[in-house]
Amino acid sequence: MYVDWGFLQEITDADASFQRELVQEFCGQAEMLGERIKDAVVTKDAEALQRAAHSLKGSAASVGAIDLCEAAANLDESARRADFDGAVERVAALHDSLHGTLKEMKEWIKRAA
Amino acid sequence: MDQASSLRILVAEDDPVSSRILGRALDKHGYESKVVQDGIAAWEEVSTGSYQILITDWMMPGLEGPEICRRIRNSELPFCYIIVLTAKSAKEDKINAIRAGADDFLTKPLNEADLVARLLAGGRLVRLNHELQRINTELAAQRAELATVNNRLIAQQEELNITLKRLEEASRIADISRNRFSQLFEGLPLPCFTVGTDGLVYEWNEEAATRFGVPPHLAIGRKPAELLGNDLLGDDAVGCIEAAAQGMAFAQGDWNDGDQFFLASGYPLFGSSGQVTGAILSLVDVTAQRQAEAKLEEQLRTINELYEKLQSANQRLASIASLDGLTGIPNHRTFHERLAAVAEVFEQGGEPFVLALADVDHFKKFNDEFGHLAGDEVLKQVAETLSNATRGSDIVARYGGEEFAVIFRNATMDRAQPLAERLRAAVEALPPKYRQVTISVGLSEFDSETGTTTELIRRADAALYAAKNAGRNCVRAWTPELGTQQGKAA
Repeated sequence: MYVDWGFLQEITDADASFQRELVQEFCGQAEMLGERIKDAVVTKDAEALQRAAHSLKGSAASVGAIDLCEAAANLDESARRADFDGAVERVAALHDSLHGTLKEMKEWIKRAA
Repeated sequence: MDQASSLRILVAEDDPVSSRILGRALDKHGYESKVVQDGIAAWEEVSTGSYQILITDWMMPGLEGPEICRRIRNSELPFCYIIVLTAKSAKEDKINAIRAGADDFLTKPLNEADLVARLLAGGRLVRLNHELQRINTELAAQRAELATVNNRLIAQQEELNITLKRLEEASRIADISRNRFSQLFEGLPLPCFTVGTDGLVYEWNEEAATRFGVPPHLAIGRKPAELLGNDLLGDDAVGCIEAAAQGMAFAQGDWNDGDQFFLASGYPLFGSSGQVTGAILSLVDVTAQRQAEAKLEEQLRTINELYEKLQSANQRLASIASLDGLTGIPNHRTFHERLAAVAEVFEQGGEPFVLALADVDHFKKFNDEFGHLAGDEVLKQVAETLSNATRGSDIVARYGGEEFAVIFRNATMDRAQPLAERLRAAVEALPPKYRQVTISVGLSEFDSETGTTTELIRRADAALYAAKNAGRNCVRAWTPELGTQQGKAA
């Protein structure tokens, strides 16, 4: 379980259509930030890496994507410490979490539809 | 009014998911809000001054949260309540946010209850701030009005000061005038006093005190007539004073009691608003002049009397005089007396004699040309010449006007002719002062045939006429052909 659906339920007041909207929005945003993180690793741009991780952390927290949020926070912290090598290791973990989270969310959307 | 609807909220959040959740929550609670994605857009919106609350993310592209906070706090914008969004974990961010000027913070993920509570607190603070601002504005307006009033007061104070200064100056001038008047009034060598409209003495100068023997403190408040005496100040004079105190000036009033003589003048005195307040009166003592005038009159009368006496004496004197006043030789009257005497001697068998009448030629013309004084001079000169040129026994007289008579005593015509010629030549020889003087001479001998002295004079006159006709400056003797013509030539 990558997502705290109860939290999502709570912040949306159980508004199903808003939940769907929010999840779809999050998926788009997360994919975009995931790509940006990959690029930052390739170009070894620590700052861009940290920014993207920070943004992903915030977005994930907002929708209750707790696993991804934790992965992004770890990456954010490493990048902030300028621990580029440590950050790269965590990028892999983040991508795993991102993959899992998106998969769970897309299934949830399908179910909900 | 709904508390929420009065507030406009700007949300600055680059994360679309967060901003969507936030936007929905604000909507749900009735807040009007706008969402921007980055710091630069957020600052542009906020600087319009139309947002009362800003909810901003801590990390954003463009401008980050702390910088926006600082900019807002350093600006002149109306109060804006700033809530910063931070991650739950970032404790330092929270402190930094407050330090940068933020009022509060919210942690992500967002808790709706927290949000609403923050907004209510923020709204209250905004309203208080706005109220404060309104009061400040009012206070500023009141302060400005107070300053205006104060300035007006200062201006009035200044005006008042100027007025006071003017008053002081005017009062100083008035004092000077009063002192000058007082000095002038007291120093006048004339008795001088003022009266009020009631006709009573108001001021009384030292000379008046001396002159009338009443000191000022006893004079003031009394009637002038009591002080000057009713003899000096008759009803007319009192009337003049009263009229002057009503505005009618008078001058040269003749006030006297027989012993003292004054020329009085009175002029109305005017108050500051032009009304008559009384009169000032001055008295010039003319007693000495009047006495001198009286003496002079007396003397003139005496002189007149003496003159009249003198004239009558002169007349009497003239009637008994024998010499001519001008020439000093015997006059017409004496001539006749002597002629009668000589004629009487002849008739008693005495000596013969010849009468010569000599007349100054063109004497009238001479007088016209050189004046009577010159004429008189000539007559004196001729008289003197004739006297000198005759013998001691001959008689020279002024017959009248420019005519002289000479009696050649103890002489016949033969003897008389050269004597007469000598006279003519002597006159002709006089040094001419104005012009040459000549005489014409007519001769007539008194004999038994002549009869009277009147006839003798007539004949001499005729001979003189003949001499004039012959061209003047010559001597002619009477002949029977000449008759006794009355015509004469000057």
